[in-house]
Amino acid sequence: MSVQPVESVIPERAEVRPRFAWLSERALMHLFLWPTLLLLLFITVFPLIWSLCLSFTEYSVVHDSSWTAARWVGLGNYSRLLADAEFWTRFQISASFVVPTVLVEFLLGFGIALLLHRLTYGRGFLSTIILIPMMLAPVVVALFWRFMLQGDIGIVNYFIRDVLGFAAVPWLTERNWAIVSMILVDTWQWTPFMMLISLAGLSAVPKYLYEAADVDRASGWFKFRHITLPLVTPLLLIGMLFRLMDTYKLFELAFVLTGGGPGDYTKVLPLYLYRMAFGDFNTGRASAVGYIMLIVIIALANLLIRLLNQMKAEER
Amino acid sequence: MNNPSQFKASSVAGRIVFWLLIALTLFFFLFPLYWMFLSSIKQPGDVTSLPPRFIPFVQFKPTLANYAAVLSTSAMGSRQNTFPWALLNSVLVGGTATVVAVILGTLTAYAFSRFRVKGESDLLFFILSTRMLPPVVVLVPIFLMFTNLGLPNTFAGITLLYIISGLPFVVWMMKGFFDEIPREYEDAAMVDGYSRLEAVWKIVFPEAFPAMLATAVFVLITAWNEFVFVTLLNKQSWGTVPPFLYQIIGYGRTEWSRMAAAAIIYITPIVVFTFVVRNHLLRGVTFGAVRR
Amino acid sequence: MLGKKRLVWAAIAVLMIAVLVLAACKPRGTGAKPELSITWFAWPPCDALAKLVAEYPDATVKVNCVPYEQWHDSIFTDFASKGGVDLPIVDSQWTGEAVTGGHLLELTNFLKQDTNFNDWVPSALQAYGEYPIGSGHYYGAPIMADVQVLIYNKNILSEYNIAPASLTTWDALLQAAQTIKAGDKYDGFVWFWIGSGDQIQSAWNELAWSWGGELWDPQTYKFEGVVNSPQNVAALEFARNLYLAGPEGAGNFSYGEVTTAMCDGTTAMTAIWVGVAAGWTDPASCKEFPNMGFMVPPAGPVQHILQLGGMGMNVSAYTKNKDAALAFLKWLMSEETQLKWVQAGGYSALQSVLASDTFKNAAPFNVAFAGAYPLVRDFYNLPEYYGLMTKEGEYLNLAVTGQMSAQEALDKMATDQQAIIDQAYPNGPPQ
Repeated sequence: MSVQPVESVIPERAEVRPRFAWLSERALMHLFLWPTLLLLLFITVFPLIWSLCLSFTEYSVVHDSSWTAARWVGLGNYSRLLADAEFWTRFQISASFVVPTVLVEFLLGFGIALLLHRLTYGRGFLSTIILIPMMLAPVVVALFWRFMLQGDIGIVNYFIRDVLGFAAVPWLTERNWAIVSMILVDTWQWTPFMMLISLAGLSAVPKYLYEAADVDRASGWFKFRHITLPLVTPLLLIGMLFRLMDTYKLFELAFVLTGGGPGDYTKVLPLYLYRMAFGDFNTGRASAVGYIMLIVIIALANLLIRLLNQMKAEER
Repeated sequence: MNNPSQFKASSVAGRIVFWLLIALTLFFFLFPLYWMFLSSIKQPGDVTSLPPRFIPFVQFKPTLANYAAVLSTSAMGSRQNTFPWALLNSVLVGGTATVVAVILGTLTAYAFSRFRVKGESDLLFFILSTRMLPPVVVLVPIFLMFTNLGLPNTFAGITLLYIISGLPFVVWMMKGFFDEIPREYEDAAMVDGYSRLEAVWKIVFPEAFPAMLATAVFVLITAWNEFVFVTLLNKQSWGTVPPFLYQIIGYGRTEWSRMAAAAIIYITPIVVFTFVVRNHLLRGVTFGAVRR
Repeated sequence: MLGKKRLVWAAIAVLMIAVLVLAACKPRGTGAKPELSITWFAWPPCDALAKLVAEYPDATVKVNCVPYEQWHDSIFTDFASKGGVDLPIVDSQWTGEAVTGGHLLELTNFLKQDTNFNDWVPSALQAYGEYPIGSGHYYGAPIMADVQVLIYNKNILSEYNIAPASLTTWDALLQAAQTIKAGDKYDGFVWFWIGSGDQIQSAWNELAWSWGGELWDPQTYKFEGVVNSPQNVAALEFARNLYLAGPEGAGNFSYGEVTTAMCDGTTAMTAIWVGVAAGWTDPASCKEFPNMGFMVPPAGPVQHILQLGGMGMNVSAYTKNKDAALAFLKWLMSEETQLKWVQAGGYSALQSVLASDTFKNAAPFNVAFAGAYPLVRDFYNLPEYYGLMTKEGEYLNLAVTGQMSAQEALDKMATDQQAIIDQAYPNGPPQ
């Protein structure tokens, strides 16, 4: 979109009597804000309070027949969890999945956007096609990759073993490869998301900035570093924020692709939580796990947002 | 629209690298899709055979039987649903939820962007945090809440849930967008005599519409593929396609060919929608180019 | 905005409202007959059940076939909301949980008075609904009996001159599998080795018991020393060898992959639930089915025990149609209906039905089934069963794929399981 003079955007109008002028700015603000806020409050207040209370009790939604059977244990669930080595291992396993995945999706998404951005035509078509992995149902993606990564009959190993001549890779059965498989599948499905956001950001950088830099005969790298990057990064950070939140609580992938295996090497936090809540029905402790997870992600998100605001301030 | 060169690509070697990278990217993302498509037109026996068969008609006989089977699948048990009905439900529920979420969220984003809202950053963080909740933790309380309100097996219940899930994303994305559009546009219009509401409707919305489309795509995809809540809440009626997918996937034996066909049928509406609006999408997510 | 655009928007709005109104006004069925609901998971027997219950004259019975992953949640969330399904089919291992939570009606008197109590296979009645074990209190009526049968590919076996009749012991089977695997053309034996769910546990338990090992001591609730007994170690090492005689990368095999391996003809033998194998009968989707043979799975050096599968139908404590539900259950469990059930593809736990020709002729594996079912045993249906089973699956999977030694895996399993039990029963076993 090019720069347009302000006047040309406003439609012509014969008379100048404003309609809906009785709606003051304040009224409008409330009108725009409250529906959303109310809806979100509705869905969060009860569950959050419910879970919070439960996290201080020893209670099971099914073992105990009613609320009154819940035994108050104060911070017992929390202290037991924080002292449990397995709990920390879950964080470690989650981190070994979340961190590389978000980074790879960011780098790859941005890189592809840079490539596509330089195309004169076909950009719309190609980016739509690359978006397709994101449109598939996560369970379908997980199942299909499980099929493709199969040790013996999988198509991926067919290429590796029969076409390229290397040894077949134990994608889903060996501990380190299993995490790699998860990273691979999530990257395949969600890099397009980062790509679209990066492409958006790249398209928003005004041309005249580059033209001005060219007049000064700036190098490509200089332009990238001082024009492109600062203007695109805020959007990239928002994208990364959402990917971080989503991979952190991602559950279907571990459940369907590896089942948490081999052993428990891909049992990420959401899967651990699910089994505790719906396998063991240890509702009290599961609520505590949920809250700890929530606190951690709030802290991480806060950091990212602070970074984002800092960049916005610099931009002005 | 070619950017004035940021990297030197005028050399032949540079061009070769460029096209090679594009080709690799396309291969990485598209080959599995091609493989999925192939599986959907193969007979079940051909799907897992080694060496793999890549070329239809030459290496194997293609068939449309899988698609026919999927379209005529009816729900197991006493539920009267068939796949096409579930597809219709998905369109109604997903479409409505997306439209409402995008409209509501955009208005909210506008408010945050233009008006001085007390406690703005806290409110925004609260909105974001609703997306941080692991679904497992909220599953039982939400189920209890909805059951008490009489919402299971209704259109309203599940649509409401999807609207609420989509709002945080819409608000954050659209606020980011509005922050980049200078206020001068509306201010000038209001000086000219439009009320704020009219200025929004006539000026801001047309500018925002492409960005709203982009956001809508993401929201639609999330609602389209949601599985856990719709399975628990809408057991008897108003079921969407995802539980069907699980049924087609089956217990014990996974009919890859049928699953591939079902997956392809199910993403078709979204692919078509995205394709139709693709130019708007890209133009749209060009967040206003006016700099102060 | 021009008039035309406005017209278009108005038309769309009217259309949407019309559809919504139509949808909201979908006619609801009403009638004098009570309505009952059943929840099971989506597999062919569920569909068969739905058709069967449509014949019941005294009530409208609806069968909800939910996806397997949601089976547990669906029933237990109904319990949590104190309503929902009338006749849930609860997997045998969840009985303990459901009973302690007070969610099920006791069916002891019902079974004794309204069914052929002495005709049931005793271990079935016990496993599908007795809690606590040995107490004589029953909460479930057997709806689906299941056991693993040995399935082999006749062509592959004859190619290597192995007579199916010789596969009466696990040792003989291992040898046969190794011979086939050494031929480099086929794989010998495939099983569902994945650690999640109850797959590898259901497989290995048969070996452990047949080698003379135990999973726990039900008198003292002891796991240490029992789980890692020398017999179990031997059984686990045997399992590792079995694993090696099968396809590569079978460490994450679930029923789907086993099915593919057998139906495509790349593997010679497996032992698998009849409920799963029932889906193999269509040659269009399972190429090798016409070449398959069935027999009772082999015996171990000490005993011949098989893992029990299947489940019972229970009555929710929150049902509003208690009498109607029990009347329906009586009809369903009658010999006459059970014969129809096995013809439709179900499996019964009534001895008379199992012995009947109707049953034996209903499907090719039924003769093997009839021979195998009397040998079954189940694992613990304690409320803590889920945590115990998860540990078992994780460690077994690591041992079988060679990432941990059998001794170490069982030692760790024993320690972890004992810890779970000690925490749940700090004062020792309940009296």
